Amino acid sequence: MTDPIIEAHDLWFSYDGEAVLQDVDLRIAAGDFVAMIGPNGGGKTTLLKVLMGLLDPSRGSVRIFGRPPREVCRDMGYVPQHAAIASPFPISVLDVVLMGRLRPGAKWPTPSQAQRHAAIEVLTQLGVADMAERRIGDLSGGQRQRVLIARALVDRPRILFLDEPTAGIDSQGQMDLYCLLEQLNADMTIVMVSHDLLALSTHVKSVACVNRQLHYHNHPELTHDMMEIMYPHTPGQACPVELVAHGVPHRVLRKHT
Amino acid sequence: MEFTIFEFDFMRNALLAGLMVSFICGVMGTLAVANRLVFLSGGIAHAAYGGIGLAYLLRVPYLLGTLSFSLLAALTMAVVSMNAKHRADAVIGAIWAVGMALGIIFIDLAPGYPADLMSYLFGSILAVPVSDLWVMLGAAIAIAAVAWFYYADFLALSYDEEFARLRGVPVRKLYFLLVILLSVAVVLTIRVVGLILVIALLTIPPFIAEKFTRSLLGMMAWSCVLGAVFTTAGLVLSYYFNLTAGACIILAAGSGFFVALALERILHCPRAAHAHAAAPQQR
Repeated sequence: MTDPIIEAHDLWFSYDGEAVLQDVDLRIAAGDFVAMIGPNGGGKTTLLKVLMGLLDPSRGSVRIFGRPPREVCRDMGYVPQHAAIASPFPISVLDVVLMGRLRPGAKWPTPSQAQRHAAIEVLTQLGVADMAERRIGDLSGGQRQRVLIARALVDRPRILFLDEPTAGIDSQGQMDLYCLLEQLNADMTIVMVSHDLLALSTHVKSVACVNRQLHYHNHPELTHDMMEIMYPHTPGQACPVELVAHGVPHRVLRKHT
Repeated sequence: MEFTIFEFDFMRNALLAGLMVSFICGVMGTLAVANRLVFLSGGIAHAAYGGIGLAYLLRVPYLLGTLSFSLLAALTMAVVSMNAKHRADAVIGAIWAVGMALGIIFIDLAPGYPADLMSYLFGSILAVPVSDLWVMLGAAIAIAAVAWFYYADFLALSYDEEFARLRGVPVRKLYFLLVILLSVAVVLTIRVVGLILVIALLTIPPFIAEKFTRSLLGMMAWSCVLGAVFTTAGLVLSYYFNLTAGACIILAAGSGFFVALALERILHCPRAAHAHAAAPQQR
C-alpha cells in the first residue's frame, strides 16, 4: 500500500448524544476506488461528510493529503445525493457546473470565458453538453446526476466523493455510471457510498463496511463476517445468499463453509 | 381621464418610494424565497412593531428605533434557527408575537395620544418624508452592491449550501449578512405597505418571476420590474378610487399572482404532458 492520502484516526461522531460513528480508523491510498456499504442509519453518509470536513468529528482527526480537509477542499469533488437538492430552483445546468469552480472571495455574476469553456468541456465529457442552457429542474434524474458529477469534476479534483450515485437511476444508467467512474479512477481516488451490492462485484477495488464501526477490507469481497455485522439477521439465519455479478461469474460472497 | 396624479409632490415621493422599495424587495425577496426565509421575514416584519412602539415611547426617529429593534430580533431568530433548525419555525413564531406585544405595551406606556396604528399596519406611503427617500436610495445601492459582489456565493448558498461550504464559501457569514439586509428591506418596506403586507411585496414578485427565468439574476431583475408595476398600479388605483394605497399595491400584486398561475397552466401544459410521457422510459 502506498502512502495513504485519506487518513482518519480514532474518529467518533455523535448526533444528539447518540454515537453514529465509533472509533473509526481508515486509510485510503491514492488511486483506490472504495465503496462504503452498510445498513441505513449506519453512518455511511456521516463518515463521508466527516472525511470532507463538512461535519466536525466529536473526537479524532481526519487528514487529507496530510492536512485538515478544509485546507484542501479544492482537491475534493463531491457528488451529493441528487434527489436531496431542490429541483424547482431557477438555475441553468451551466451555472450549476460553474459552482464547482467557486473560489473564496468576491466574484461577479458573469463568469469568464475560460470558466465557461471548462464547464462546457466537462459537460461534453459526460455527454450532457447540449443541455447546458436548460434549467436543471427540467432534466431527468440520470441527466441531473451527470450534471452534479460534472460540477464535482470541473475543478479537476484528486479525490471524488459520491453519495449513493445510483439511487433512482435505471440499470442501464447505473452501468454507464460505473464505467465512467472506472475511467475517472485512472487519475483520481474515488470514495463512494452505495447500497448497491452489484457495484462491488466488478468495479470497485475496496469495500468499507460501515455500521457505526468500520470494517475495512482491501478486496472487493464480502465476507460472511461483514454480512453478519451489516445485516445481522440475513445470512445464516434466513438463507445463505450468494451474489453473482451480471454476466461475469464473479463471487462477491465467499463460499459458504 | 387626465393624468394629473403625479403633479402633487406627495404623489411623486410616493411613486419614488414605491419604485425603490420594489427594487429592494425584488433583490432581497428573491434571496428570501430561494433560501426559504419567508417565514423569518414575516417574523422580522411583525417583531418590528416592537421597534415602532419603542421609537414612539422614546421619541426617537421611526427608522432608527425600528431598524435597531428589528436587527436585534432578526439576529436572535437567525442564531436560534441555525442551532435548532428543526424548531426554527416555532422560535420565529414566538419572537414574532413577543415583538408585536412589546410594541403595543410601549405605545400604551407612551404619554399623550396613542399613535396611529393603522399607518404602521398598512403603510403610509403618501406620507413618506424626503429624508426616508434618501435612506431608501442608500439601502437600495448597498443591497445592489452586496448582491452583485457576492452573487456567485449567494447562488451557491441558496442552491446547495453543503457544496458551497465545501468550496470554501463563508456560509455562516453570508447567512447573517442576508438576514441583516433582509431586516433593512423589511423595515423600509413597512413604510410603503405596512408590516402586515410586507410579506406579499417580498414574495409575490419573486414567486412569479421564478416560473419564467433560468437564473437567480433573472429572477431578481424580473421581480424588480414586477414590483415596480404593482406599486405603480396600486398607487394609481388608490388615487383615483380613494382607497388605502398599501392595500391597493398588494391587491395589484395579488392579481398578478393569479394571472401568473393561470398563464403557467396554459403555457406549461404541453410540456408537463410531454414530461409525463417521457417518464416511464426513464425509470
